[in-house]
Amino acid sequence: MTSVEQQRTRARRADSLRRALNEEAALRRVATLIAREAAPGAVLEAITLEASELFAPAAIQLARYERDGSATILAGSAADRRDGASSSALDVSRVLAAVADSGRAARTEEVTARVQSTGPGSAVGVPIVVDRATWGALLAVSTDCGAPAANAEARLVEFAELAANAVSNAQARNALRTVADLQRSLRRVATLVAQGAEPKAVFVAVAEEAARVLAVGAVSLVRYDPHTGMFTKIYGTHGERASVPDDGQWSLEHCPEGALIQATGLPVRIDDWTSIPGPVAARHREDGFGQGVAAPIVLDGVIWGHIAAFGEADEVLTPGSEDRLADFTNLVATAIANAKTRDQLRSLAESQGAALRRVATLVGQQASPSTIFNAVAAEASRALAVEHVNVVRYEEDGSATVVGATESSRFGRAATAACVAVVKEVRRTGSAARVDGSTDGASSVAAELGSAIAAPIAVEGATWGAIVVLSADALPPGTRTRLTDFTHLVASSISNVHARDKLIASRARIVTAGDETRRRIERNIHDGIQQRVVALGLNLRALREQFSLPDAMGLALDDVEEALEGLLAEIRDFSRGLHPTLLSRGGLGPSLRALARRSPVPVTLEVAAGMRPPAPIEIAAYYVVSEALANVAKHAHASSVTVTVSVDTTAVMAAVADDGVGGAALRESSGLIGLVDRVEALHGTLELASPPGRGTTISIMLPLEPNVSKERVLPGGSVTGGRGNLEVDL
Amino acid sequence: MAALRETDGVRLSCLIVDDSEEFRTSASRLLSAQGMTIAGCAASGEEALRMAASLRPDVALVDVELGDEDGIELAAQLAESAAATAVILISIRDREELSELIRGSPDRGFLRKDALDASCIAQLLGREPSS
Repeated sequence: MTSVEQQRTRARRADSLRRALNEEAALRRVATLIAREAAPGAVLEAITLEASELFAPAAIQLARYERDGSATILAGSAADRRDGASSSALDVSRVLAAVADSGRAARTEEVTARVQSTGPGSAVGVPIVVDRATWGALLAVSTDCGAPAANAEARLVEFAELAANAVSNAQARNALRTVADLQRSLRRVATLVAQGAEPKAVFVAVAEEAARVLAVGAVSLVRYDPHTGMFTKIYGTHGERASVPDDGQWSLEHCPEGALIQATGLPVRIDDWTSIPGPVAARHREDGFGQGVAAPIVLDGVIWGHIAAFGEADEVLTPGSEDRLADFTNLVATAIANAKTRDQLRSLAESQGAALRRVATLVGQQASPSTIFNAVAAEASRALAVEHVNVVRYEEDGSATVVGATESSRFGRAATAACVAVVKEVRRTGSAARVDGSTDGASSVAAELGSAIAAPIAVEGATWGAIVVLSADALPPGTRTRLTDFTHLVASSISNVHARDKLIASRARIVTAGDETRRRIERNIHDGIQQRVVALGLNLRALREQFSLPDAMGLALDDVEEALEGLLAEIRDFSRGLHPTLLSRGGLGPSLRALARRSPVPVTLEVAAGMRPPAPIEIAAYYVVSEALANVAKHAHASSVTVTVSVDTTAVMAAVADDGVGGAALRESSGLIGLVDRVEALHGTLELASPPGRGTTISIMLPLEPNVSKERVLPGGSVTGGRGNLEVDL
Repeated sequence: MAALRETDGVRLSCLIVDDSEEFRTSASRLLSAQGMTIAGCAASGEEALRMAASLRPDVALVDVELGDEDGIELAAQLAESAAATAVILISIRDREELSELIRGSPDRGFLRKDALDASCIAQLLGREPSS
């Protein structure tokens, strides 16, 4: 080898080394751009530029394949942009086509092997492969004759891979951005839903966000009525361009996307509107809309309606648009369901509130316990929409008594058994219980019962009883919670009655204690003071018998005797007013007769007392008559008065009626007001009728045990006052 | 008031039945000063029955309210006893107040305690005082 040859060899080697280094550097620069997430356009430009440097004088072109088979030159060296020789343009397109077809590198010779070349020039192209598809091609085009270097493909491939990388990254980033966008949109709508916004507001938000995310001009939200087979447009984003205006309706046959959804229950896509009949489809085409996707809105397992999105006439919707719509449909369904629930709850609350108010009014009016319990049962059955409600009181002996119930009597043994079971459970645990009816094969009425729920009525920390709800169907969820409103009401009314009973009992005790004290005082006076004054008088008279006294002294002693008489009379009167001894010794008959005799106004007395009632009641009756007669004497200006008293096993009744001026009232100042206390302390009643000018009648009723006029609510009592008297033994 | 020392030369004997010791003492004092013989004093029904049986007084003065006991009841018992004692009911209360109770009682009469007087007793018994 000559030194020249050696030099040439060395030079060639140095050249290739330099080229290789340059290539590496170029590749590195591009890779850096990619790593820095430069815009894809910039990366592709950079690739083309760097490659152009390296492949010069050949021009580099980067093309992207489109769906319709054409190729778009995205980047290319300036020379070619100016549109070079038509022959090279032809070669380029041929190579592009070849690469597209084969998915592999191609060069002009191969092509011209098949096709007549029209001129000088050559092109080499390699595919840019993204996601295993031929996304585009990178070409090296030379205008001079001669084939491109043999390793041109290999060198191009390096750059093509970088290009593929950049594109892939860009696509990934786009996808991410799209997903992030979608998430943001969904979040915006979900926030509205969570805030309990009205459905209309949610619909509007969904339609607008969906339009944005899917990048379409038109989104419609549509409701379907299965009874009429008609769709109603709830909201559309495309305003006047819409085929159907907001709140407009159209039928199943004119809504292809709706019909498909109703038929399949799945998201649908309609690509070709040209052959769909009907005015709506015609307007759709006229308004310039094209491809459409729609997703169903499902509520409680039923297709409530759908959301549809429409692209422009020449637009192609991104694949998967109908699935992205489905994300929004879920939110719409939730918003509607929430609103429905809210409405249901509101009307439930209102009707339940009204029911509770009605019962509370009864409680406030101090209606009898059986009235309240039956009212609770009736109201609860209405408010909870169940047929049968029992209010049950637990007795000390372990049984339970039905103290209030609804009127229905349809239930048989199965219901009773379920009622017993759930009532037992509530007593045991002190909290609500549920029993679902089980079929008793032997009984034909067993199938009647679906379920029984009972909630405890807690009074003063103890389980007083329960409200039991029986239903042939399964009871809706939430029944147990809503029952508790009623149990609280019952508990408070029982507490009220307890409190009232305790108050009455304590008043009775006070009255009795007072009477007892007066009796003792009277006895003491009788046994003590009176005896001593009597003895004083007798001693004085004895002294006068035993000794002769001067007349003057005798006269003086007469005065003393008289004074003593007066004193005794005074004490006697006082004592008589204090306590009616005759009453305790002789009963109502003798004592009332004595009262009648003493009355300045003539008294007609009728006493029918077969037996002597308990002392407090006897005393109360006596005092009432006594006070009434005293009033007659003082105020009535009457000419006669009738006193009627009757005593039997159930009650003592007494009435004092005069023919005087009337106009009496139970004022604080009148003695009558004290009688009211006495009578009420014994669970009795007092009535005063005193129309002016027509006389006055005072009448009382004092019940004897057992207490039948006002039922006791304390457990262990013998009175139930309930319906059906279904004694349930636990 | 003139003292009656004798009636027909016979002094009436009397049994005082009362649960108040003060009354028993003062009544005894007055009646004996007025010329009656006090046969005895009893504080309870049981005592009264015993004493009436053994002493056979002309009259027993019985308190309507003999403590917790019923004087009217005792009066009946005394009247029906073998001694068949005549009974005059006495009380701090006046007759009108007690009339319902004592109606139908086999007593010879009623005297309010502070009006106790030997001649009244004699009158009630149907013995005329000597004028």
